[in-house]
Amino acid sequence: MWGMNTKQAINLLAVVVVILWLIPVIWVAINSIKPTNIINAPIPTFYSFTPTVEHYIEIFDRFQFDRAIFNSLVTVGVSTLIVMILALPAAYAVARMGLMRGDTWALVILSLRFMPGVVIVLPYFKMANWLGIHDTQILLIIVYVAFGLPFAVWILRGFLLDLPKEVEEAGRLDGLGWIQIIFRLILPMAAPGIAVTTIFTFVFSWNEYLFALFLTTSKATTMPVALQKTIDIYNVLWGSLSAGAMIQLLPMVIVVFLLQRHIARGLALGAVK
Amino acid sequence: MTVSVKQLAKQFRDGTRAVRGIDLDIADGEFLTLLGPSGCGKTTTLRLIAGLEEPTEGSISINKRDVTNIDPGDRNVAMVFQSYALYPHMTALQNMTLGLTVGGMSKAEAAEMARETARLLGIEKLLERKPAKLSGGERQRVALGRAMVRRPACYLMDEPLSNLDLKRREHMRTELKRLHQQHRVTTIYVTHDQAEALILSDRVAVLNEGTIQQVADPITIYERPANTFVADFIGSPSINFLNGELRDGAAMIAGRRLEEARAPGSGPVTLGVRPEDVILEAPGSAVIDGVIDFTEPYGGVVIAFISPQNADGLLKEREHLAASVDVHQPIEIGARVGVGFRASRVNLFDVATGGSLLSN
Repeated sequence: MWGMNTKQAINLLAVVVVILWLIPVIWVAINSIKPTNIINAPIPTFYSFTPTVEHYIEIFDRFQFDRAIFNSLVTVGVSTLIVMILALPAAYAVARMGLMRGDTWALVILSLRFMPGVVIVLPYFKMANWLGIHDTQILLIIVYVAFGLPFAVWILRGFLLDLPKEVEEAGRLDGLGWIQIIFRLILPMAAPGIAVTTIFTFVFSWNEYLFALFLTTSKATTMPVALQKTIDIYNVLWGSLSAGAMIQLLPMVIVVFLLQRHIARGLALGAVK
Repeated sequence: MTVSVKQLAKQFRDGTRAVRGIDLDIADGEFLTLLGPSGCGKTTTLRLIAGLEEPTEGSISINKRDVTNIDPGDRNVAMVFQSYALYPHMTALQNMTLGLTVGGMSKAEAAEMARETARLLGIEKLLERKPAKLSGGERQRVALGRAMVRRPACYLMDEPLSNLDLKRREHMRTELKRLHQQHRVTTIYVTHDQAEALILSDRVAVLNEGTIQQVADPITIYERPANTFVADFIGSPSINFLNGELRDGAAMIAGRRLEEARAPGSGPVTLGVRPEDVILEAPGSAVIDGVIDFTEPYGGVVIAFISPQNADGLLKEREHLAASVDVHQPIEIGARVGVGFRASRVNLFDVATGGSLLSN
């Protein structure tokens, strides 16, 4: 086609896909620094305006975004940490020590994901009220651990199965105990897999909206729920919404940039088997 | 006795009986090879001795201590794996010292010992490299070094040379032999490569279907196999099996008496003749006549495949009789030849059990 070879065609296609993916993000980024009157102007503009930080100020002043950021960081950070601490030994037990063999286990794990969130959020809501922990960070941490852990074990199991068993056996002959094998051999060898699993777990909780909406009201509200409050019955505050969205996006971008080498390796590793 | 194994058996969860009652005594400083086809139980036996598998029955003792239920790390053995199994995130030096420091030695002392071992193996320049930056042969040496540095009571080696190309494999084989003759550390070596087994070992244990068929020195294994399985498994090209008859204590073949192939009893018998013990003569003058159908050059020798004439039912299972001929001896495909046998070296086996009838 027009003298292009396959590689060039694939590159061109990749560029098109990236642009398609980026257009909404760029639109949001531009909106977050546009004055409100220009956002609402009948003829949209992408560049001829004076940038402003008013929406960033507004989202903190009017929508207590500082509290939402804090809540998100605490609930997501703590739950991800707990999930990863528990998932590595658990995945090791599943992958290597003959716990829960075969496909039944896969079904059990994945079936947790089949259930529509709305179906289970109501029992959670009731239980939280009985326990008196509604609208607390602890509640969200419990929920995110409960949802994140099986999934993390499942992904990690795949990575651990790809590791050569003989290396662990060599460790046993060198006199290492189980704990030392996990922390001195498995942990460094599975680092890419652990990085990928951590990101998946983090992203799932970071973007989680439904449970946070039902299980919090004000004190423990996380960022996705706080963002929703920029939309009321009368209008949409596009500027504040966009500014909040950019803040919400920031940690993802940082994490992916920091770990991109591991992510690429991790995804490739998982794909081998 | 360094390693002693009594009635060792292993049945896996899926029901496979990999090892079915093995008795072995390995002397101090001995190099013993477990040899057999894939699935014969040789690797499982090694892993049982290492402690990486738990036996279903039987006991293992190392240096007169019963280690059957003791952790691999406390058995005072070191293993070299087929895949080398180096720790990928550690340097060669750390690979070699981990076992020492876990055992309580100081880092400096462990590093000193590792350097000493590295000098012995010619890898002292590689100590700061990680396994990914080493070639196959270098990884092999580091794996060997990791085993040696611990000064164990016994080395366990699981096909350590099979991932190397032919040249390197021959080189490392010689190297292993040299190291063993210098240090005389008891070694149990697993391989399916008979050449490796015969070259390296003081004694060879041939295994099939989880049981030991024969334990003997390499020459006895080759010349006086205990049964048809060992006779067939050892030797390349394979031994010739012929249908014969025992009469008055000597073997008869195609109506001719082989006076020096002697065994008690009478009745049908299986003769095992190595290709180099088949002698080509002028047609009509030897035991049988045959026609050379095709040849396979092996370098110094050529293997001639001969189809016997007027001797129906002489050959067991195969259609050709293999004869090893010096490369300088003129042979022609399609030529008619006389075939004789070096009778004193012929093995005689029971037709029903396959067991050797020779007393030795």
